[in-house]
Amino acid sequence: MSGCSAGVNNAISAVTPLPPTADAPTAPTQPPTSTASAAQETAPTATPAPTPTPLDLNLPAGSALASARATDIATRPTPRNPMSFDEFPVKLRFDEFYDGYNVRTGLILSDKLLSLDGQPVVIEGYMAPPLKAELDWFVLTRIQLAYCPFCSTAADWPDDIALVYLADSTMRPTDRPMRLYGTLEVGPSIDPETGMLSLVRIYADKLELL
Amino acid sequence: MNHRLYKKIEAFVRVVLATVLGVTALPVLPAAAQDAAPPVLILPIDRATFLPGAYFDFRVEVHAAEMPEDFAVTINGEDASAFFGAEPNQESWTFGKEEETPSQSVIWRQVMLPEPGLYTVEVTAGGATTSVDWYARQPAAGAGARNVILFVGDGMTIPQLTAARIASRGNTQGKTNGYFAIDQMETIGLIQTSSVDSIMADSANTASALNTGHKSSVNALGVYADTSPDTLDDPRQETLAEILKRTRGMSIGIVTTAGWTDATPAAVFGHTRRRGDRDFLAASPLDEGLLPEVIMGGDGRYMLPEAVAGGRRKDGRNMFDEYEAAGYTVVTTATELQNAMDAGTPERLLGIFHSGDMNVWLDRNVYTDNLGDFPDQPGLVDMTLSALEILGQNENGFYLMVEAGSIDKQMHPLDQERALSDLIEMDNAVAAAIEWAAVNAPDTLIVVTADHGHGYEVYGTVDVKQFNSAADDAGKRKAIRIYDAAGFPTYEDADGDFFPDTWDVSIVFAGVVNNHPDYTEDFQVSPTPRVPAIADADGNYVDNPDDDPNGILLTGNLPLASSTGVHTLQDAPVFASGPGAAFFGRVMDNTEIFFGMAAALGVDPLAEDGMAASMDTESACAGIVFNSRCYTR
Repeated sequence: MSGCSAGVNNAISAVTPLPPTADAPTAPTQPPTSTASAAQETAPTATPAPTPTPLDLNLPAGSALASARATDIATRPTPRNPMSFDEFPVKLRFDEFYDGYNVRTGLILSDKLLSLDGQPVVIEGYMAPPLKAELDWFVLTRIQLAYCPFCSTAADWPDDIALVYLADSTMRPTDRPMRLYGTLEVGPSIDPETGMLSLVRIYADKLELL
Repeated sequence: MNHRLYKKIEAFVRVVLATVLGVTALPVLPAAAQDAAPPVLILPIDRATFLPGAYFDFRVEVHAAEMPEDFAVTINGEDASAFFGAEPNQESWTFGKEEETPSQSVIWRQVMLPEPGLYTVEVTAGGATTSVDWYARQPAAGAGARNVILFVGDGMTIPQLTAARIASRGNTQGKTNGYFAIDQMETIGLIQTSSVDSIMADSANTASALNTGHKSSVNALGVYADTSPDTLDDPRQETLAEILKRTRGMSIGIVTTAGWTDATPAAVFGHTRRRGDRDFLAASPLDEGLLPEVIMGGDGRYMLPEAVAGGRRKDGRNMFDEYEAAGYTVVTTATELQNAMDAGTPERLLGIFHSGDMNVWLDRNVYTDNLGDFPDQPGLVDMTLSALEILGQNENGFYLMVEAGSIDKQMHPLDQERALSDLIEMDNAVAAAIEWAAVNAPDTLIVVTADHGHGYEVYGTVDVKQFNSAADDAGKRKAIRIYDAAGFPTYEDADGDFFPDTWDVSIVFAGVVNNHPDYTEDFQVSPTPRVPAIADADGNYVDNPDDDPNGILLTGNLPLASSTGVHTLQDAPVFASGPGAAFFGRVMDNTEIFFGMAAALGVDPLAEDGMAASMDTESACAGIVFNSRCYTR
C-alpha cells in the first residue's frame, strides 16, 4: 500500500489506494518521511498551463489532479515566524488554518499553515455535498455542511475549507468523517474558467473513512 | 360608456382587485391565441403598476427562430418606438434545459410612462396579437412625510411576534405585561408575497417588490426576469431609492444584520436576475452612482479581491479602497463606528463588520464564543441610530431601509431562540427610531414589515427537566404540555433590556417550524447555532446526530434535498406610524408598500422638484368612496 502512514491501520479505506503518479514530478526539496512513499508534489511548474477545472463536470474522472498540477498560484505567502516540524506528516486541524480575519485586509493565515506549504500533512474533515457521483476532487470541510454551495447561488463556502485532489483514482461521495494524507499547498488559487477559489489545497495520497 | 373609458375602468378595477386579491387572480386571456403563432413574453407583466416618470426597461420576447415579419409593438395604438421616442435594441439568444428554444427580443432601456392612466401594450407576431395592460397611477399629493424608514424583519410573522412578546414582556393570567413598539404603531395591514413565477417567494423578489412597486421572480432583484442566460441584462425596475435620489436629492441608507449584498439590503439598489451576483451588487452603488450615504452590515468578503486571503471578488477590485476614495468613512468594528460618530458625523459611512452575515444578537451578547474572528460587532439599535444621525443631515429627507436579516436566517435552521432574539432586537431598533423621529423629525414615516413568512408557531410549553430525563421519545412527549397544562414559560427579563435574561429556563416554548427535514428537536436554546440536518452520501438530508441529540425525532416533510425549513405562504404583516401611515392599514399586494411610501412622501418623478400636486381621491376611485377610502368589487 502506497502512501500509507504509520499508526493508522484500523481505518476503512473507501478509495483505491493511490499509487505513485507516474507523471508527477518528483520533489527532492521537501523533507523525506519514512512513511510517505508517494511522490511528493511541491511547487507548481514554472509556466502555468491551462488552469484546473474542478467544477467542470465534463472533466473525465481522474483528471482533476493533472489539471490541478498546472494551476496558477497567485501568491505564495511566507510565514511571519516559520515553524519547523520534527515528524511528517504533520497533523493539521481546520481551526489552525487562520489566526483571524481583518475585515479590511482579509484572513490572516497562520504560521503553521504557511510553514506547511508543500509539506505532507494529515487532516480530518468531511466531504462537502458533491456535484457528481464519481469524484476525483472534492471540498473538505471542518464540519458537515448543512447546505450545498455548489447547488445554490445564495450560499457561499465557509473560509475553512480545503480543496482535495485525488491522484489517479476516484471515489464515491461519503457523509462519513475522513482522515486524509497528502501534500499541502497554500495560497489563493483561482480557476478563471470555473471561478473555484481555494486558499488551501491538498494533493491526497491516501484517504481513510473514520 | 365608450369602449376606451370602459377599458380604463376595467383596468383600474383589475389593478385594485389585484391589490386586494393578489396577482394570481384575474388572468388576462390572450387576445388571439393561434396555434401557429409563437409564444410572446411582455415585460413588465400584465397589470404592472407604475409611477409616471419612474424608469423601467421594456422587453418583448418572441420565442421563434426568426422574428416574424409582421412583428409590431404598439402602446395605446401608437408604435412603441414613436411612443417612447427611442429605438429598441434587438437581441436574440436560446434558452431552456438544452438551450433548445430560440428567443428574438427587442428592449427599450430606461423609458417611462408620461402621465397617469391606462396603457395597453399590443404585440403582433406570427399573425396573433398578445396584449397586456399597464397602469400608471396618479402620484399622491403626499401626507407630509419628508423621511421614510422601512424596517424589514426578514421572515417575520405574527406567530413569532406573539412568542417573542411573551418571552420579552411576559404574560400574567392571560394579559400581556407589555407591548412591543411595533405593536403600538398606528396601523396594521397584511401583504401578499407571491412571485411572478411562483406562489412562493424568497427575500430577493419580495424585498424587490417593496422597493420597486413591481413583482419579480424568485432570486431576482429589481428586474423582471427574461429568458436570457445573462443575469444582468433583464429589464430593470427603478427602485424607490434611485427615484428619490434622482428626483429629490434625498439621502439613502442601508442597514442590515445580514451581509449588505444579501437579497433584502441589495433590493434597495440592485438589478440582477440572480441574487448571487455578489461582486456586481457590492460594486453597484458606486458603479451606478446611487452612492447611498449609509451602508452597514456584513459581507467584507465581497469587498476584497480573491487574491487576498478571504476575498471573493473575481474582478480584482478592492471595494474598501474604492468606497474610501469615493468619500466614504470606512469602519469595521463597533468601536470604530463609535469613534467615527464621535469625531463628527460623517457625510458617507461604510460599516462592514463581518466577512459574511453578521452574528445574531444571542451570539453577540450571550454565546460570544460563537463570534470567532469578529468579537466587536455593533447591534441593530446602534447601527440604526448612527444611520439616522448621518441621514438626518439632509434637509431633502432620507429613505432608510433597516433589515433584521437573521430572523429568517435562524428560522431556516429551526432555531427559535436566535430568531426571536433578533426579532426583539429589531423591535428595540424600531423603538429607538420612533424616539429619534419624535425628537428630531416628526415628519418621518416608519413602516415595519416582513418580506415573507416562516412556519414557526408555539403550541404549548415544555418541562425541560422532565423532557431531558425521559428515557425515550414517548417519555419526552409527556413533557410537552398543551392547553391549560401549558401554563406559562419561565423566561424572565429582570435587567429590563427586553431580552430574556436567559433562554435556558425550566419551562420553555414548545415551538416548531411546520416544514423541516428529518431532525431532532429538544425545544431548548442551543449554545451554538443549529445545524438540524446534514447530507448523507446521496446528498439527502438526514438528522444531524450532533444537533439536539436528546430531542424527539420529527420526520421530515420536505424534499430530501432540503437541509432546512423553507419560506411559507402566509400574508406578511405591515405596521406603520407617522405621516402617511393610514395607507398601510389594509390587505394588499406587497408592491403596494412602494406606492405607500411614495404616497407619504408625495413623490412625482415627473415634477421638477419630485413633488406631487394635490390629488382628487374620489375621481380616481372606480368603486365606492367611504371615509376617504376607495372600495371596489
